[in-house]
Amino acid sequence: MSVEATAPDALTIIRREVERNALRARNGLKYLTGARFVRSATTPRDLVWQHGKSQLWRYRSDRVTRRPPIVVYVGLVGRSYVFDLYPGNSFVRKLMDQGFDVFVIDWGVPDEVEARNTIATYTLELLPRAIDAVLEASGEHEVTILGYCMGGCLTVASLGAGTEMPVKSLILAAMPTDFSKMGEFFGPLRSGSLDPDSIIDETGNVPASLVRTSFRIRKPTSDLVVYANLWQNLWNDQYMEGFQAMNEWVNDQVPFPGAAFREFLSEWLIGNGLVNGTLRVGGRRVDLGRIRCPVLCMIAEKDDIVPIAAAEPLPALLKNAQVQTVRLPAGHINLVTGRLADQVTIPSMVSFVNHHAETRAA
Amino acid sequence: MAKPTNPRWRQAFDALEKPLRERAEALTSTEEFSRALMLLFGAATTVRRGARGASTDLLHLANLPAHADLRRLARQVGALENKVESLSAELGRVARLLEQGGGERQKRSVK
Repeated sequence: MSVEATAPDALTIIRREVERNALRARNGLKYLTGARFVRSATTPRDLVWQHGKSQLWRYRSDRVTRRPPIVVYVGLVGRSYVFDLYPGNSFVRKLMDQGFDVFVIDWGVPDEVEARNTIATYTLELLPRAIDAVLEASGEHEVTILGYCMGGCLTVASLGAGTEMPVKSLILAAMPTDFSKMGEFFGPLRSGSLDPDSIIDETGNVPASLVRTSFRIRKPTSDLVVYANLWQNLWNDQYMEGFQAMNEWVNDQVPFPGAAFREFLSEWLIGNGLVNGTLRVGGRRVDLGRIRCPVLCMIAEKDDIVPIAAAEPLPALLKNAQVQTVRLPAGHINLVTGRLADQVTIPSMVSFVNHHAETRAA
Repeated sequence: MAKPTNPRWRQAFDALEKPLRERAEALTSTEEFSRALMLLFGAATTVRRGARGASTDLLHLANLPAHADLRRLARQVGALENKVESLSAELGRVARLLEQGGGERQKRSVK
């Protein structure tokens, strides 16, 4: 290799590094001062229903070509803006591009007012009312539901307890089912050796900081990796947009309503009620055999929050439903964010919804 | 196209991080670690409750409202608000049913 041939390359590298370091300095300052690279939840939407802190949003679209509307929600400890992270990475926007009329339920951030909310408050009261509001706003008589993570648990508990929600098809994504396989972190709670009241704070809820720690502890070096990635890509504006939005969401857990937590502990974690068939909600027995609509179970193979072993018993429990299972090479969160959502999640959902629309019309 | 290789500092970081991660995960994924963590949270909650309790007593001695009183009030107002919302939703539903019923009756009388 001659010196003449490598000199321009070296010059290019030096120039690139100088440029990148200038961008690093600019973006680093911007990040440290808390300036926004991008805003979350910017897709235009309208509030169509509200009860307490729970809200139902409808996303504005003049290109609705698919019926019925789709209702999307997470569980009680996550924020719903994960579905509309930022322009260019919005699950909601991608669903709208496919012609769906999209509704998102946000359960809100509980405080002392919601401390007495039980699982039944969400499954037997709020969810059916929100679905009624979807029907009224859309003028349709059926809905497709996408329950993500614990949102799936709320959905099957509601339907299994006999609420009469007109669900045409159901999508359950990364839903924990067998709580004995949820990892050792839940061990002390599962064994019943820890008093739940000891971790409920003065507002009557499990603090968001504990919820956040329970997620972060699974990957103890993740903060180090995040900062290494940040330094490596600090020059890249596009990376910074994604980093800021995602990092904010990951650290933005909400408190778990105390009464719902006690019930969740006894019925789901200790009783493992879904698998053992012992689950009760608001005094009603949850019978998964009541779910008769077509169901798509989406299992994320790289999920570090809901391990495959905890998610995979679900299809077998839905005895009377026509179940389709897809295993996706995704983690818990990128099932609905990023390129993977574009390439795998949404095509699977669209194909499922279309398939059932066709069989129904035939 | 070949994937660009990581800079040397990153390769060194990854080489250090991997064994560290494996050891840390082996520790944090045990039931004992989880128990210790929750006990720690529990202890912090107890201390906070105690401190709040003491400050509440002091404020009450001075005949002043404490944070706990505001929380109780907020809970009562919230419960009331929820009841009003439920009632108005129920009223709306009944009104719609009545409207539909009225419509049906009108149709029948026209026939």
